[in-house]
Order: sequence, then C-alpha cells, then structure tokens
Amino acid sequence: MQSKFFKLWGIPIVLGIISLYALISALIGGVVADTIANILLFIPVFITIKNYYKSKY
Amino acid sequence: MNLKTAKRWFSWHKWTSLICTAFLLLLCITGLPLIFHEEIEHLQNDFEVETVGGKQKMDLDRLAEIAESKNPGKHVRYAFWEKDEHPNQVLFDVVEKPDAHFEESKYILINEYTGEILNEPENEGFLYIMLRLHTDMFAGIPGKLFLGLMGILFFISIVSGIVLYGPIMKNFDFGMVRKLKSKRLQWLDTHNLLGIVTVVWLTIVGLTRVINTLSDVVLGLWQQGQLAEMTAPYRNEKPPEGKLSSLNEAVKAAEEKVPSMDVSVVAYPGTPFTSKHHYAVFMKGNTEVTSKLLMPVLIDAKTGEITDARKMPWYVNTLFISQPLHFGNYGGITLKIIWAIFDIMTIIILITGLYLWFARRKSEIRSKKLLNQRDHAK
Repeated sequence: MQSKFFKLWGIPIVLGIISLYALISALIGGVVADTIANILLFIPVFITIKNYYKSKY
Repeated sequence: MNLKTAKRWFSWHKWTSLICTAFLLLLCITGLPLIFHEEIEHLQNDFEVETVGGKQKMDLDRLAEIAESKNPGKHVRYAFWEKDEHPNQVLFDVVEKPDAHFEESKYILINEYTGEILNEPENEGFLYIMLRLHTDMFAGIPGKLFLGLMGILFFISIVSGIVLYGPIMKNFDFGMVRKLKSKRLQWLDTHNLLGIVTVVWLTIVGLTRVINTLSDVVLGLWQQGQLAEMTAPYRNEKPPEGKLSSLNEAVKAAEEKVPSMDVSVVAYPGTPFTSKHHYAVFMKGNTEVTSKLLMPVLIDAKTGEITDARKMPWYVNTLFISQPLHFGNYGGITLKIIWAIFDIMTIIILITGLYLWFARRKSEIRSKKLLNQRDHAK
C-alpha cells in the first residue's frame, strides 16, 4: 500500500518540495540562495525533458 | 476513488479549464515578453548616470520645477526612484490634477546631479500593450478583477487536475509518455507530465496573480484603514492652499526618521496614496525581503513636519510579496529564463488540454452517430 503510494506520488511530491523551497529561498536569501534556487528549479525542467524523450511506449 | 467521484472531478477540471483557457493563453503569451521587460527596456533606452564623488545632487524642489516647466499648467504628483537599478535619477509623474487617470500622466526622467532631462517615457509601444493586455485587457479595474476570477478558476482546475492525476497514473510509471500508441494518448501523457511537474510553480504564479488583481481593493482597504488612522487629526481641516512645503525637506525628514531605508516613491497631497494634507514618502528597506516592502512616512505639506510613520499592514505586505513571486524578477536573469521555460510549459499544458477536450468531443459525437445509425438499421 505504502510503496504503491510512493510509486505514484513520490517524484511529484519531491519535485513539489524542491520547487517550493527554491521559489521561496530565492525571495528571502541573497546571491548564494538565488544560485542554489536556480539550479534546483532546473530539476523539474530536466526531469520533464528526460522523461519525454526517454519514453518508448 | 470510485467512478462517480472521478467523473465529478473530471467535470470540474473540464469546465473550469475550458472557461479560463483562452484568457490563460493570453496571459502566458503576453507574460512572456513582460518577464524580460527590464532587459528589453534596457536595450531600447539606456540612461545611466554615474555617481560623481564629491558632487552635490540638485535640490529636489528645483528638479520638480524643471519637470513642471516642461509641462506648463501641470504639476508633479509622484516622484519615483530606483536607487539600485538606476541610481542618480528621478522620475516625475506630472498631471493637471493629482487624482487624474494614469493615462493622462506625463513622465520626465531627470539626472539628479545636473537637472538634465534624460527621457520622457510614454505609455505606448509593444511592452505597454503587452502589460495592459496582461493586467486588465484595456478594461480597467473590471478587466483586472475579471482576470482575477479566471485565476480562481485556474486554481480549481489545478486542484482537480492533481486529484485526477492519481486514478489516471496509478497503474503507470511516473513520466510515461505513450508516443507510439495514438496522438491522443501522447498528448494526454504530455499534459499529465507537464501538469504534475509544474504544479507548484503554476499554483504560486496563479495565486499571486489573483492577489495582484486585488491591488485596488488592497489600496481601498489601506486608505480606509491605516491611512485614515494616521491622518485622523486632519479630517476636518482644509487642504493646504498655495505653495506646498519643500519636497526636498520632506524626503530629508523621512530619511532621517528611518535612516536604514531609502526613498522609493513620494506621493503628493491629494493622490490616492496619501491624504489631501500630506506628502507620503514611501521608504524601501535594504535587505532581500524588506526591499520589496514599503513604509509610508507622512509629512504635513503645510508645515513640513512629520505626522506619522508606520509599517504597512499585513494585507499590503502580502500584495508586495506577491508581486515578485508573480513576476519572477527576484533571482537574476537565470530565474527569468526559468520563468519563461515554465511559461512555455504552461502554454503546452493549455494547448494539449484543449486538444484533449476537442478529441474527446469528436469521438463522443462519432460514437453517438454510430449508435444512432445502428438503431436505425435495426
């Protein structure tokens, strides 16, 4: 049951937390926080592109 | 989730999306150049004034006179500074009456050292059209509020989309895109993948958008709340006539009152951002967060003395914080590029969604037709 939930929602939840953290930390923090946030925000973009081109169904 | 519940969520997702899709497409398309408005403006006209060591800046009252002499019969009602981005220059907004519509404003950008007029920016051009289409579709406050309503529908569509993601994807791996089966499945999977990956960004940009559309409501609340409280002793007094006290002294007094902050805007008496009796000098902080917030220092425009200075209430600060979160202008050019990528992803979500509705409708009509033909044949 638990693994089924994580299989479905695991990646979306992790990406959601990463995005939320990045969006807010860039607002509060200085240049370093901005840089980390920018890198973090590229993760969902990268994962989308990778999955789209990797899919061979 | 049973089928009936899923159908109900689907119906919410379909209708809320259908109603707001056209407007969201407009917002995404017009928003794209607006993300980079600073860079585009910089390319179009670049007026930088170097800091001159040891040289005094001119008296602000004199600079205001220069702006007014350029527009006879008109008076300054706002003065703006952007000390970090464009130091040593002040932008005056000049009109006939302080409560005139913003489209009547003339803008004069002046070098604070020499008094030289650097530019007279106008409300026109490509970016201005994009901005108006994006904020109110040239329909003023009703247009703005209407787009806010579309934002609420968009939020419902996001929530229902998340709920539907579960039953649709429960037997599949994350990120699956069925490209070899049918176009409809490919577009459905693309819609689901992009939707779930961008969901936090979509929600934040969508909700801050709704808050931004309430700016006039927030202004009204502030006028009737904090501003009315601060100016209560003046309620029954006559507004000052003739020459107002010095602008230069007003800014100086405000800077002395809150030395940790810089002047950002001065609103003249009679404008919506102050009373009929006061200059409102809005001060901006120096840290990442406080630079997005403003603090009003009210200065009696007859005597030049400080009446009151307070931090803004929570609902105004919420609006101030919502602005960068919507614009994406708080993390340098890289964040703006990310904003643009997410914006384009949103456009793809909208178009795939529209296609899915269209394809589904077509297949529904076709199957109905087939059923009818079969009935006739019997």
